[in-house]
Amino acid sequence: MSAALRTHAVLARMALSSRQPHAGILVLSFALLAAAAIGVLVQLKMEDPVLSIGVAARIGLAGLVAGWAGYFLPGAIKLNTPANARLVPALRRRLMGLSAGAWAAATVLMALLAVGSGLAPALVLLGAGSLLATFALARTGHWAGIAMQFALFPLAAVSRDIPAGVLVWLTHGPGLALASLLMLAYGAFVLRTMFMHGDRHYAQRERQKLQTERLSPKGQFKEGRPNRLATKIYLAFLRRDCAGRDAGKLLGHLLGVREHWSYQALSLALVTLIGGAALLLLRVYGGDTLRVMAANGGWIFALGVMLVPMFEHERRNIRLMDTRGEQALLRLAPAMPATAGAFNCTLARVHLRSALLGWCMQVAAVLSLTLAAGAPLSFYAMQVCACCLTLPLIGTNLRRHARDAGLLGLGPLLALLLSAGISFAIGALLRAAFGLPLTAGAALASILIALVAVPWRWKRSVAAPIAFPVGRFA
Amino acid sequence: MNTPIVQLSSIRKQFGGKPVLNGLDWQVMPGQVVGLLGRNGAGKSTLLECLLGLREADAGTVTLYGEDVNALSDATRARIGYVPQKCDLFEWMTPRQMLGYFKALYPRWNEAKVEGLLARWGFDRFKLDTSIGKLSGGEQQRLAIIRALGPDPELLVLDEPVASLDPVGRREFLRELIDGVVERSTTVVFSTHILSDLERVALDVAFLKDGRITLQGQLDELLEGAHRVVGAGARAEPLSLEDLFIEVTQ
Repeated sequence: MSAALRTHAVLARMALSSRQPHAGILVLSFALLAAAAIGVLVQLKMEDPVLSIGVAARIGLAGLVAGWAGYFLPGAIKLNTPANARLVPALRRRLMGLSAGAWAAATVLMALLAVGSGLAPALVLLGAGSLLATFALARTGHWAGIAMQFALFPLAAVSRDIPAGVLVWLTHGPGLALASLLMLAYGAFVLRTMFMHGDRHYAQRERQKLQTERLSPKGQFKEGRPNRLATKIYLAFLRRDCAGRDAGKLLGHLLGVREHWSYQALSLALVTLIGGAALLLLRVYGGDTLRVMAANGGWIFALGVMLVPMFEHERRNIRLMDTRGEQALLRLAPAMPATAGAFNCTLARVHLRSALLGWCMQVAAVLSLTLAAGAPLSFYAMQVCACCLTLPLIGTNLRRHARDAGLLGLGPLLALLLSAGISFAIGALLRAAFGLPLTAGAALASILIALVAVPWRWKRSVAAPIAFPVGRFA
Repeated sequence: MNTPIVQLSSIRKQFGGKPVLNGLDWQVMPGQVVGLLGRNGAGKSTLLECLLGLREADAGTVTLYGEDVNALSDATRARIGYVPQKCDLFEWMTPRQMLGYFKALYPRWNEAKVEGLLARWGFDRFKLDTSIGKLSGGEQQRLAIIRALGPDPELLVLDEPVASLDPVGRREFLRELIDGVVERSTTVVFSTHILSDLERVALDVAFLKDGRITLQGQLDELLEGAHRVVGAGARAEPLSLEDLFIEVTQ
């Protein structure tokens, strides 16, 4: 192996193992296993070796591409520090070469594997190339990459409505050449953004670092600078609460702008507005199929809002761990309750109030989105019942903070699954006994579970050692 | 009769089976300015945290102004100022917002003193409106000190307060400590590694070793009484504070 190739191999290994030491082996074995398993299943079902091999190859390639996007790209971006770029000769150029090579190879392979699948290889080439470049752009923390990543899903939904003439133009002659050139230019822009140099590198570096950190359990809840409008609103509340000198309200400012209810209300309003507008647009400009789809399926999209607390609880926990220094200062402040019981009670009240308020706002958002989707009236009652299933989660942050300050991990998800399971079991019993609809029975059961679980967690959290600084017994 | 402001009796604290404070007894009298000395990892920060009730001792009692540290009254907490080693200071706020926030948390707030310190320590209008997270380490440390001095504390606990300050900043801080704090009979407990600063301010020093206060006394007296025998026992040479630190803590 030549020296240059060896250096490239070392760099590729370094980038791959940046997040996970055995990423290379993991990605390869996952891709091979998935390809083999699905290939065998297809063979058993269809008894067509050519088709099975084709499907297995596509799955294997998809696995490798996922590994490239999930491990190699963040690792390569991480390696491209200003110091590394200066100290290691040709590091940036080699990383660019490796990233571009992998991108080009994956794109071409995807297009080749599309032969005989019914999809136009030229379209697959353009689509896959742009898609992979977008993922790479998002990894750099560039706003356009992140926005386009989210925009891809609705785009996929309306792709069937693209006129056939446009698709034919794109797959032949000048259309294909122009689209390919545009894709290559986009790829070059992404590559330049990923491996920036010069003074802009330092500014971009922070965004890239944040984006790479988001891939770790703790880092995924780190956010950039909060929105200006939200900050202005928050500061108005801060001024008001400072003037009011209420211990609970002042305590509510410990975690900063993002954890304040005003910020959450604004974010939710924005999501509802954008989601609602998208659903309305689908209804107005989409065909009949899309209209029916939005009406019958929009409620599922709306219900997704109810899963927000699971992420918010985790983010709040991380913020609590990050602000232990501030907590010490608050503990010593005379405005705060002195005894453990009184202090924990005030903190629990802040958490519970925030969680309850959040739940009410989420229900309002879900109903607004259902309205925007044009769902039939019968769906609304079902929506409210489904929202009730997440009620037991409002007690999640009533913890013994001094002891149990670690990450919640899968806890809330498991708790939700367990509580929903119990609720549906009770709902089934109620239907059998009284003829009550299943979802209504499950909602009633969830309310009962919340009425038992929340006071229990409240008592436990109040009786614990004083909450601040959190995690000192952990 | 002078009763101690800070009283620690038989304090024990261990982390993962390793004792950090081992039956420690200590008291600080009103108006005393005590420099707490000890090697890295000796437990100075743990001791100061136990002293303020921010960390529970495994055994022993701590009282501040005669009250149990775990149930300090509002009035007693209003008398305490604390600068932690790591100046965590609500990084998303600007200095002005943070000081306003703490002003709301204390019944007494010396606005004139805070404004004076801000002006003297280089917090112009631009810096006052910059988020704290963007200030340098030294500026954050100065702000932490200003915040602690805002409520005019009668007991000031400082955990390595000058660690992030440059020589000018250290001198300004010490001047402030002497002029504005020590001369007003405020009781000060502070840990530091910078012995020259300690010599300027502290009247008393306490050495922490093996989880106990192994030596405490007035700095002058300790230095006067400490001599090293040189030349086969023929001559006694006076020790500097640095020598004394090494002798006591080794």
